[in-house]
Amino acid sequence: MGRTAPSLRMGVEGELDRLRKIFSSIEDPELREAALESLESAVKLYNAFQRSPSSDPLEVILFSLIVELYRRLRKSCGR
Amino acid sequence: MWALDASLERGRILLRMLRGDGRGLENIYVDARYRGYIDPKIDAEKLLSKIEEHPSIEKAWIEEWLQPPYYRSWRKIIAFEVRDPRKINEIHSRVEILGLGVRVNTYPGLVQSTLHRLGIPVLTRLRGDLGVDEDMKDPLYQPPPIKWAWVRLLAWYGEALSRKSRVVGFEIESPEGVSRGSIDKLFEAVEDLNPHMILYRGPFEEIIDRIARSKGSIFVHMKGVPIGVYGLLEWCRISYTIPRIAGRYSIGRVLTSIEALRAFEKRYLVPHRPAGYAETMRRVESLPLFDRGGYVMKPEPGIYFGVVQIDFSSLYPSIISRYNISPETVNDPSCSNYIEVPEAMHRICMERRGLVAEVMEDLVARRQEIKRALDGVNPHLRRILDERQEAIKWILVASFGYLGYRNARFGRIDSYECVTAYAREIAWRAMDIVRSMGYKVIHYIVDSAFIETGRVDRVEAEDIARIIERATGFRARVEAIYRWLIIPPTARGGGASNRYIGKLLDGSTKIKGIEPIRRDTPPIVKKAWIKAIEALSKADTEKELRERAIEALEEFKTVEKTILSGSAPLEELVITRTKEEEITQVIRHRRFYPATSKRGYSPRYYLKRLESLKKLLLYITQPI
Repeated sequence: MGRTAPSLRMGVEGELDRLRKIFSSIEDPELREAALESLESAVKLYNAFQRSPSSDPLEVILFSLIVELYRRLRKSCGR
Repeated sequence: MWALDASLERGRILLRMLRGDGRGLENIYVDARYRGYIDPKIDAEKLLSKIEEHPSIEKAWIEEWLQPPYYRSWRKIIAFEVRDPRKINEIHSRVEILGLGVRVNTYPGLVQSTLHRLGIPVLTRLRGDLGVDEDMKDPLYQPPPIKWAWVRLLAWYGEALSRKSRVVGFEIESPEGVSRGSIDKLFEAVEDLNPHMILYRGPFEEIIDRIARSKGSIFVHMKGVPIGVYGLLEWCRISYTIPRIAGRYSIGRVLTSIEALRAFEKRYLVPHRPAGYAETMRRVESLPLFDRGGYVMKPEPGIYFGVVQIDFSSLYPSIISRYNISPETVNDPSCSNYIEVPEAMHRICMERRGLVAEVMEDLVARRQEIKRALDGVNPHLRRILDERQEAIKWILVASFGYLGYRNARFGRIDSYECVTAYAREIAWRAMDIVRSMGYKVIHYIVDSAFIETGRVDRVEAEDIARIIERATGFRARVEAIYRWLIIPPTARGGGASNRYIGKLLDGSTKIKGIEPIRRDTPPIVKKAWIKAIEALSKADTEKELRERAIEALEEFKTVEKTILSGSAPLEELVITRTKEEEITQVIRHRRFYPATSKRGYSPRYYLKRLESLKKLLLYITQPI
């Protein structure tokens, strides 16, 4: 119940806030827009990760992005 | 007859008994000795001989009790009896100051433990010889014919809950009905009723106590959980506590009393101060894995049609009972017959029944029996049974929290982690089976699943509940069927758990975690919400919802204009706040000021309070 260490939700939200700050500082406007937009998919696997959470909240974010990318690739390949 | 109250006197207990004819209260004296226990720090025989020398002690001897945390080994404890109850504390203190031992088995309290030891249960029908004349385990008992009176003191705005309130009147609820009057008539009104017991919740207890004493009635000052009179009687019965004491109790105190009395029966030593057993050492990175609560799904915001809400009944207490979870059964190093808890690194001993598990099993079964009896009874009996099951429900709700609290006498965090681990396992099993049937789980929170079926069909909903029951092994029921359910987006974009508005089958709406149900919402905001929800509740389809939302937005703009123009009536802007039972009523201008001053208001503040309603209506008007 998050007595000492943050819960997965707090960890993920913390990481997202940190990444938003980082991505907002990207100089290239196109890259910046793409990076910030990618964060919209960054918690898609959050609920599933609760089944067996890791101590590293970045896992949720990275796998959410990778799986979302894979899904779009599959779609564009007509699968 | 029934024991309603008890006072400890030298060498005897004064019992205030309610006679069978329900007329007056009768005083009966029962010979009694009071018992104390000491856990010796020196040789038990040596301490016994020292204690026997004390002039107040009539008898002293050695008993063997099982010692915490695992109740595996026996310990020699000194027991002693005195005539004067005040001597118990004196002897305990003396022994402790001299460093000869520590007091134990002091919980739940001398009145309860003495009544329990003498076999005189409270509010249970007794014969003339004080033998029990009914089945104590029967939850459907006939309530004693108590004439009770629940007094409420009134200020101009309602119940006077603050010491600063100016009390102008009263309201008395009794089995005969409700009567009201001005405060100067209170004494007369009580006199007319001539109650056995007067209950009161509020800050003016000394006034009501004085009235009760003058009438010879028992005064019960109600604090803590808002249970009704029949709920209080239920608490008293199952915890051997007289109403006068139980009224002041928190739920945790009632629960721990029941557990402590059960511990006495099992010969489990109850420490005077909780030992505060620390959890085992573990790595920090393992905390997110094991130190978790129940599963809470982050929902996608949206408008869903045909949603079934399935709730597990008393899930956590059932888990505690089913898996034998209790502080002494979790990680018992001497145990050879155990089960491993999924994803929790704990083991639960199955060699013997856990104390907390046993208590939970009895309470869950008791509550279920009462709920089954609710069907088809008359309204009066329905009220009694409903209050009873509600009183037990409060204990069950608190049981999990106390199980995990290391400073509770029967609490350890390891037990708590076992319960949440099983709860998560059950949640996943339920969701897996629902998904395998082709349904979508739109939200899950601890013990409640929201499943999108796309249809409003009670038979289908019941089928889903039965399938979940079979898959998990735990009782589930259809809590609600929604024609539509709106999960609004939060500022961050996702949905919030337990924040939704839904239209039920019967056309009414269910709202959770949204502005209008907050107690400090000013009337103008509340009314705007109520109007909007009333408009939305007329819709059944997506198109209708959107149309109603547009209508509601127009209405909303009118309210906005009124606030902006500065002409909103001040009584509509009053914010009622409660802090530690103190009620204040304020209006916001540059800052909050007392409502009686009537100095104007800040349109910006009140418009901000309406913002969430506007956002919700705009959200609904967008295409789904």
